[in-house]
Amino acid sequence: MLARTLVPSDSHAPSTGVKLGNPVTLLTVVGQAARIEGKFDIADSLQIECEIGGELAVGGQLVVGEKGIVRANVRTVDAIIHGVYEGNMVASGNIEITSTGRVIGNIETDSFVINKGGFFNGNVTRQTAEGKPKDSADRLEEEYAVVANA
Amino acid sequence: MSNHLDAEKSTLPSSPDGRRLLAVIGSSATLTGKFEISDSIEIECMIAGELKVGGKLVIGQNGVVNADVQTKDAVIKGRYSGNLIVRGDCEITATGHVDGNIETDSLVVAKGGFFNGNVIKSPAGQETEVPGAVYLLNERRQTARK
Repeated sequence: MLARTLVPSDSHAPSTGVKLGNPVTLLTVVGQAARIEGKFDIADSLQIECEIGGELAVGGQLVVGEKGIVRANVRTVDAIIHGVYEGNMVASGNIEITSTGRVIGNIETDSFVINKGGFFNGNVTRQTAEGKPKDSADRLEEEYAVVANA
Repeated sequence: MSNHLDAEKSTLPSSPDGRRLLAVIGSSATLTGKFEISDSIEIECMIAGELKVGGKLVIGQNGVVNADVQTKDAVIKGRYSGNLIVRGDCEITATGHVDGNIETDSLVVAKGGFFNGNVIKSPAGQETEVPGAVYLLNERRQTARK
């Protein structure tokens, strides 16, 4: 679960409609520092280890790495946050804040995990609260159980 | 396809402490905005806006870039339109398609490559201003703590 992988693992894949298969690298930035501001529309997944601001629409998994600083409004399926995230996030799948993750903002999701050491300040809203039945309800209970046992 | 991409990845110089700062994978992506990158970027998707690159800009065969760009080196295998300022070397490969103005001292257009626009020689004795504005993340964090 904590493995920093871009390809959604099996536990993330179901019900999200994420297309697996051959992942094609669409954009690579290498170096010491990068800052990007703007509007991103990404069909599948991205991993961030730099500074990003603006607005992100992600059709797969968003991974904010340990060095990543994201200040943006995000609409995604899954999100794993190892770094810093500030903003409003809507996730139709799972959100996980790892032990190094730091999140300030509002989150709308049905499945939310904060690992020990992770920081979260903000509101969490359920997506299904408005009477939208979701097949992820069972998974949600499992996830809460995981949190409780941690 | 993946072999093809692996081969292209080697076009990015491996700077000594070059880390992978951003990776986007999948079938399609559109990014609009302002990019400030200290080292290098390789593009296989759609990008619009403004780019400042301190190293090498590579527009892959599937890349479509509509932006004003300042960079050190540029290799264009895909489509580019806009105003391009290159301090180092600029190359349009056989699959490249460029519509716009290029300011550079070193331009190569391979046979088959398309170029429509003006080429301007870089003003002598005047270093074109390239990035510099990119903070190192650690410095930024330290400043933020103070």
